[in-house]
Amino acid sequence: MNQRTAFPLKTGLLIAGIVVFVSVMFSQSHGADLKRHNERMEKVQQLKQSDVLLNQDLLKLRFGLVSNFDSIRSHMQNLYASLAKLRSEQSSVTGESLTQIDSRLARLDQLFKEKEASIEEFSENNATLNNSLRYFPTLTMRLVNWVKSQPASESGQRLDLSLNELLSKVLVYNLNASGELKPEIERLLEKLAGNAAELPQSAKTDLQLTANHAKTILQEKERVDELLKQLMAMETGTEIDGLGADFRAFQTGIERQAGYYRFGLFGMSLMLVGATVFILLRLREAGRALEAANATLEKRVAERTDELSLVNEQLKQDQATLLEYSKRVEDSNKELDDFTYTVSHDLKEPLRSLDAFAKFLFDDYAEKLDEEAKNYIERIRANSQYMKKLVEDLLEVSRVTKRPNELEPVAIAKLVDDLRLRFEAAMQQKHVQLMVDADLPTVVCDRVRITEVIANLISNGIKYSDKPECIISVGCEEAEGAWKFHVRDNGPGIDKQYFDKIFEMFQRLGKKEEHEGTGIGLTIVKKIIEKHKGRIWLESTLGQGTTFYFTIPKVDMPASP
Amino acid sequence: MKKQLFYAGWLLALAAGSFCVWRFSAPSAPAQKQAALPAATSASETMVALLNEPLLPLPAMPDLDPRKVSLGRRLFHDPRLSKNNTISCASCHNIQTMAGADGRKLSLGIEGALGKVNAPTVFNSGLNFKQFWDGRAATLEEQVHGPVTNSLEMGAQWPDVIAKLGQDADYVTEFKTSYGEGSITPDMITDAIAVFERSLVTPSRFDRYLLGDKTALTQREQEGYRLFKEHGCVACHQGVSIGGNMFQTMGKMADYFGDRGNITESDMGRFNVTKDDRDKYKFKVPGLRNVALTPPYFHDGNAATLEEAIQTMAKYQLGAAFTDEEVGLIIEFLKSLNGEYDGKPLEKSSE
Repeated sequence: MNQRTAFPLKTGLLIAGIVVFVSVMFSQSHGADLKRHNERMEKVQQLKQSDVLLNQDLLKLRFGLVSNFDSIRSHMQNLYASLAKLRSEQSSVTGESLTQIDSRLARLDQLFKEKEASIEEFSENNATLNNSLRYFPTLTMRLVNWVKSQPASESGQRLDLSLNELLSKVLVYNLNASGELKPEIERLLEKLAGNAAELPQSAKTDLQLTANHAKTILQEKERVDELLKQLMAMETGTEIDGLGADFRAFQTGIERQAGYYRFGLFGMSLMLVGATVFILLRLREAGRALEAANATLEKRVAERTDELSLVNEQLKQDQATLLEYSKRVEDSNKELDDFTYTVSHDLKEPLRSLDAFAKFLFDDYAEKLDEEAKNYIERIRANSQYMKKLVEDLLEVSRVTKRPNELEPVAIAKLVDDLRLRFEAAMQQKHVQLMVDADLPTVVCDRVRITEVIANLISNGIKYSDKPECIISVGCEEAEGAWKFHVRDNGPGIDKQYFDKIFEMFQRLGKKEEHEGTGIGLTIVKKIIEKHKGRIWLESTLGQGTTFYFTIPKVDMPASP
Repeated sequence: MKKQLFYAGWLLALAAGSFCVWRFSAPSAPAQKQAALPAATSASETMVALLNEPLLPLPAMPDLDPRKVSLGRRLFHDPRLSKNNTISCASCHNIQTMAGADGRKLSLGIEGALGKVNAPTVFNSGLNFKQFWDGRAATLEEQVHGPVTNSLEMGAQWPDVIAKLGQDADYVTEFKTSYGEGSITPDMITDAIAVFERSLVTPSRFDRYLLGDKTALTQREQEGYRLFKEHGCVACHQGVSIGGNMFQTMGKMADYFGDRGNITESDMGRFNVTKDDRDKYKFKVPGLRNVALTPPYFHDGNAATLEEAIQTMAKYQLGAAFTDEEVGLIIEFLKSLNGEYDGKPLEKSSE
């Protein structure tokens, strides 16, 4: 089942092949356009009809049933028009039939031309024949009447008889299909010509005219009948029927071919239906298997979901516990800060009294005290002052935590310059040189606190310097949205294990007596930097020196209130 | 279940197959439609046919494109169709004053050249079965070509004619509206002139008579018509054109050319076209509409008057002689064939 997800090329080609095959079969199965075939047959029919009507009218003309030629002309025109239409229709015929039909049309065209030529001759001769047939009896009767008006004579009677015989024979000759009377009529005409000598001039002219018409009838009737026979025998009708048969044969051929394609199409459709049913059955099976698989899957998903929701619940509880815990830590931190502040503050007052009274004792009773007492008092005072310093530092640590920064733009170069003055004496004493980078920036920060930081780091450098030529350098560079400052010395260096420790409270390097200080300075420094959301760390190599780094993130000046 | 599905499938297949066979099977023998009979005739025409008159009334004017008619009229009267711009169609077929002919025995062509035959009238020429005396043109379009390029008549060459017409902006526009874009061709010119000529039909009093108005002809004219039929003139002068539908030998009953003498090439008639000996001296029977207005007569223009023409026909074609009374009556009948064009009776101005 799984392989079916991709659409294989082979299947695509197969389907395309089937579509092309069926399309070809379908287009071929239409056969020839039946409408066009009917139109062609209709025109053949018209052709036939015009031809038949033409023949009819020719016969009617011969026997005087139609008295003008216009109908013949219009039939002729119709014939040519139908033929022209059929010729233009030829494009709808293809294959072998085309040449056959083409030659058939050419033959018909030729036949019609011949027919037209014969008709032209026929029309002329027929007109002449009809004319003579009109005049001959009139003239004969005029002669007969003239003979009758003459005094009776034997020659007159003979002429009368001959004329009557001529009249009847010529008229019968005209109606008779065979020409058997012709020799007799010619003999009669000769005989009449022989009689003419005895007649007066007017009768002679009439007889001459009568004989002329009779001769015209003899001659024209023969030609007219011959032409008519020719015209009637012309195979236009047969050819037209042949043309119709050609068209029909063409159509039948096309239809038979189309029939085969239809049968093929029928077979194809059967196969397609079979294939469809087969595919439907396969699909049904696949559907059932899929349903079963789905059911199993759903069940498993439900189980897993239950498990997961349980775990989730547990996690939520754990998170709540954690939040609670961190809140408690925060609270206790705050309490501790408050406690430290209070204690420091309250401790300062007794310490000041202690120092003051020790001073009074020293000043007022100097003469009464011996050197040892004086020494003790000195030590009391030193210790109380040290303690006071200690308390103040503690207070400072607490303040840093509690009081917010007072931000302002601070020119660090100026700040360091001020510090140089502060430490001038100490530096001279310990042969320390302070080197400051020229391009220290102006930084938005708490001026007092950052001064504290830098002072602390410089004083540490001076304090621990152990070389004849000590150099402390201060510099700054930009790093990822912050100012990264460094304070570098070439002092004794710090062991790596103390890198974190020295920022803890009361951690001092070396012996307590060796260097003064409370051991809170770096704790304050770290707190201040953290208050500025910066970071402080150090790098150091023993015997070569230490570098303190701290960063102050770049901030915009808060809008002044 | 599977079995049932298969049976259903087979049934479907059978149904589809039957549908295909039913839908695409054409009847192998197409229905034989009865061809329509020639168009039914109007009541009056039917009546005429029933009477079997040898002469037929003019049909209604054919449906013509009025733009082509007017273009054709202009071309017909335009001497630029001739070599030296002196002769137009109308020079020999004057439709205003000469009833579509020129009144001359033989026509005068370009530079005074004398034509070989008498110019027949252009009126009703569209009804002739063929054009020219010897029928050498089957259509008016073919006919127009003849005189334009005939060296004795207009003596022109088509390229020259087209160049001349092409300089006339009006012509260019008119040809465009009638025949579409493209330059002027000889076919366009002959077509326009032929269309114009088809509009030249002249209904007459005689047509009204044929259509049933017995008062349209006077008694004498009716008598002339009777004689015209009785004497066999209608054997040839018949149909709608009263002629113009067949060829006939000139001198059927007597030797016309022998009597006249001086036989020319034109006298050979139809023979010049077919080269068939039987066609010697055969000419198209001219139509007789407006005949009284178009003397002289015959292809050689040898009969100056109708009397002469009728007597010649009687002698040489009918083998008969008519009395003067008969000839007079027939002439009166022939005058009733004078028609109207553009609502006015045709005229022949006496020279």
